[in-house]
Amino acid sequence: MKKKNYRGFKAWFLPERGANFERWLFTLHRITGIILILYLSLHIFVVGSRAFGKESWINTMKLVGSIGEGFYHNLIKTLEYLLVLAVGFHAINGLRLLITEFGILLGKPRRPEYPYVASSLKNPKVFLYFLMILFFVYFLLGFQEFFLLK
Amino acid sequence: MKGRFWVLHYISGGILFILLLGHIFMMHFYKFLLKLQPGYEPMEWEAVIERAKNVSLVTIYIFFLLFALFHGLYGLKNILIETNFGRRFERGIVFLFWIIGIILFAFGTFTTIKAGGAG
Amino acid sequence: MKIKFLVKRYIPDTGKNGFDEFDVEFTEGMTVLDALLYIKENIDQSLGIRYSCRMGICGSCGMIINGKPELACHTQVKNVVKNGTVKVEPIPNLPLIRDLVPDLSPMFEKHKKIKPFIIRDDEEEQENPTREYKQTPEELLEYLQFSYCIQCGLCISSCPVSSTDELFFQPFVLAQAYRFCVDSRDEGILERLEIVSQSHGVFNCHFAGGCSNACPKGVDPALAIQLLKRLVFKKCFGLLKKKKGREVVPPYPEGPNKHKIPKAPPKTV
Repeated sequence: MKKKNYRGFKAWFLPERGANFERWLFTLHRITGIILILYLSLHIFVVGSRAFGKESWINTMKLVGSIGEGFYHNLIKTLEYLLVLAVGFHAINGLRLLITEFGILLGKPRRPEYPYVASSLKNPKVFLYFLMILFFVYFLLGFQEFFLLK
Repeated sequence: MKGRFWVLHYISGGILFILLLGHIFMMHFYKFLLKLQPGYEPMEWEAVIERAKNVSLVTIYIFFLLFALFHGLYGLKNILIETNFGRRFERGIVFLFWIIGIILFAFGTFTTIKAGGAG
Repeated sequence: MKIKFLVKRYIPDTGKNGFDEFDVEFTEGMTVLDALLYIKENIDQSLGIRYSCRMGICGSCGMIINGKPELACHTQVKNVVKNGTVKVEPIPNLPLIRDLVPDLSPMFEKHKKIKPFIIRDDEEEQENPTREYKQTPEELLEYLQFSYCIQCGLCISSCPVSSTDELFFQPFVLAQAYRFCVDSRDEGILERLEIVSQSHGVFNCHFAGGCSNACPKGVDPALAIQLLKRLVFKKCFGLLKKKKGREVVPPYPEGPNKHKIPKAPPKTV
């Protein structure tokens, strides 16, 4: 009797000791992707209400809290900011994947020499740092837009 | 291309990178843009109608919807099929996602064109 | 100095499932495999381990040691001990037969599927070879790194896609597919690309990089898989030209035969 020994979803959230940074980027990319596609399905219906006249548009905007003041409006604004961050992360990580998944910037195959440092993990690090700075700038711009400007 | 949808997944991802970031800048970063072009309120009814009548914007929106739905639903289908649970229902899941994609795309295109005609 | 070893047990007959504690006397230069063999010889004879060469070249003794996937014969106890304990578990994502012994047959079934051998159009030369094929050092360097794979299964344990998907072609299988596609002596590239671009194939890898992180031989399967994706992409757009495999070395010229050495008798096999 053989026991099935799959790690399952734990491997997404609890990688082994000494795991590399890209494991976490993989998990976050998947989670933001799921959030975005679920949001898109609802977004189509919200934006589609403008086809049914001015009244339906204004009612829908009031329902989702884009117009108005108070606690509900601020809560929706915070959630929208988180969504904008999720879009930014998924887009920037997607750009990284689009470039590295075709073998660009990964280095050439060569004779392995001890200690074995994998070139596919070391060579794109510079690109990764550049993209992290880009994401940080996006984060600050969004924060200024949503919470500081009037 | 003999059913190689994942190549389209990468290409649509690249196109969406530009379209989606552009969409967010136009719709949500408007306080930033107000400094450059005063009187710009994209959520008001007048601005909505003005955008709905612009033919080039409407075509861009329809392509945007097509690529976004394809990329998102294809990705979600991949996640579901990669689990041990989804392995057995591979064909059923693909069929279901085609149906959902067609329904959402039809509704989105219908409202986009109707908003341009009426209103 | 005594070191405590926590070993994960699983015995299917009695249903034993859990961690067992053993105390082992530490000696200089002791590897984890040495400690496990000491336990098996002196303390508990029912411990199941798989090992063969004890020098990091056969790939039998892969285990998770204190949370990290490593080869047991390659790991010094002095380097991994934490608070005087070492925790040893079998590698995940493969069926478990007993204690620390995983079942490697799913791995090898997938390996067979991608035809891990040189394929040439000339059947006669393959069946009855006369001489060796030509290859320059630059052509060798294109695939040499990926031929060092010892099929140990540690890349499977770190891959997040393999953790949820049973049918995924494992990282080392895709790396071996690339190694044969790029070998200049091989002419079966179109067949292999067809097999590898199916569902649960190369495009279910999302470059999490766990395989290259865990590989004990520096094979870097992640690099091979991304380069394989590039080949499949090129084939889709019709940019891939199937190259003819390198030719056979020309026959050696006959010498003047000064010492009257008689010719060899005809082959009997």
